[in-house]
Amino acid sequence: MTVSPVAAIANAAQALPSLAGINTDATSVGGLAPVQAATTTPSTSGTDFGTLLANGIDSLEGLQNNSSNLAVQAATGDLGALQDYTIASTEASTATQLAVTLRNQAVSAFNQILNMPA
Amino acid sequence: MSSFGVTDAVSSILTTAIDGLTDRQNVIANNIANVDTPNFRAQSVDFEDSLSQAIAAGEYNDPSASPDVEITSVPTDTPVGSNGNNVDLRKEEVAMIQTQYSYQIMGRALSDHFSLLQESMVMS
Amino acid sequence: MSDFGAFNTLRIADEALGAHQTWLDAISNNIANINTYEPTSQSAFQAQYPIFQSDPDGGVVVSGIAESDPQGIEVSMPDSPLADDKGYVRAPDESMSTQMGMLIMAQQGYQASVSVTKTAQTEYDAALQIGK
Repeated sequence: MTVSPVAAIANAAQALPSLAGINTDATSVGGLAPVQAATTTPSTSGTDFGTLLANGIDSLEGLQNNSSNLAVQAATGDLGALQDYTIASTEASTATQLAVTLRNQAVSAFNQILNMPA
Repeated sequence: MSSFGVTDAVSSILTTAIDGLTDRQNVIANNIANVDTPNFRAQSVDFEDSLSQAIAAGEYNDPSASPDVEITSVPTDTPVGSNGNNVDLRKEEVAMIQTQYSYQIMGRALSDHFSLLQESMVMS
Repeated sequence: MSDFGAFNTLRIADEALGAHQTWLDAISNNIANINTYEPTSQSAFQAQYPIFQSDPDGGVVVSGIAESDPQGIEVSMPDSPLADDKGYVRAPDESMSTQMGMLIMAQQGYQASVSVTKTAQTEYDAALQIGK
């Protein structure tokens, strides 16, 4: 098993797409049947937070792969310029930190919602 | 290799390259030290082609396989002087500069690679 | 060493250093032999001048060596053991002032490429610092 940094973030994010609206599709909680009266919060612009985060993660994987590919090129002596690698690596690192921050905030918000009195 | 499999293809490739560059640095230093030794023949280290071929052949895609990369030291084709010595001092000095920078970028790449993993694991 | 595109500047500087070193060696040999006389039955000492040609990949290579006139300059030296029956010997067809002028040019050309290697290193250092 290899640890992919993207998978580490994505796994948390994939648990959150329902964060934007409380779906009536929610499975039973604690043995109680789901309550049909729960209101759904309609998505206004059509893209919910979970989708935004998922899209961000897709492009993050691209940035991380680009950085890895350039590192391998540097190893085999096929790198065109040193800054090609260092710029790509900085982009990947910055994007990763952003995604991680977003994920952590989302998980924290999710936990807060979970802890709300019913 | 740890059971968590943190050593992946990229870090394996980078580590091999660093090994090759270390050998190269030693060989260049030896060439420079022997610039005046009679009958000394300069050597140079090759590994990039072997590494490229192993990558292209997909040897790094299988985590259980051990890729076949050779770090070889071969004689140079520089002209031989009157005392049998063929060390081209200027060429070796430039090669030393290039090797040092290659080494630095490999070190940076390896460190960046593991930083990325560590960054992803941080929770709040 | 592999053809590393990232270090092309170093490769070009290395070629220039090599070409100028060849030039310096030729000039010092020309100067050393400025008083080398030959009998008229043989060729004079020929001064050598490397021909520089631009490398299409960047840089410079020595594409050949030009030589001065093998006839040289006939100088009257009746007391020399090499002199012919008219008292002449062949002197090399070169002048000290021209050789000294070339020596300065070759040295400056060499130094300029040394500067290039130093500048290239500052650039590589800067590239490696990106994101650090």
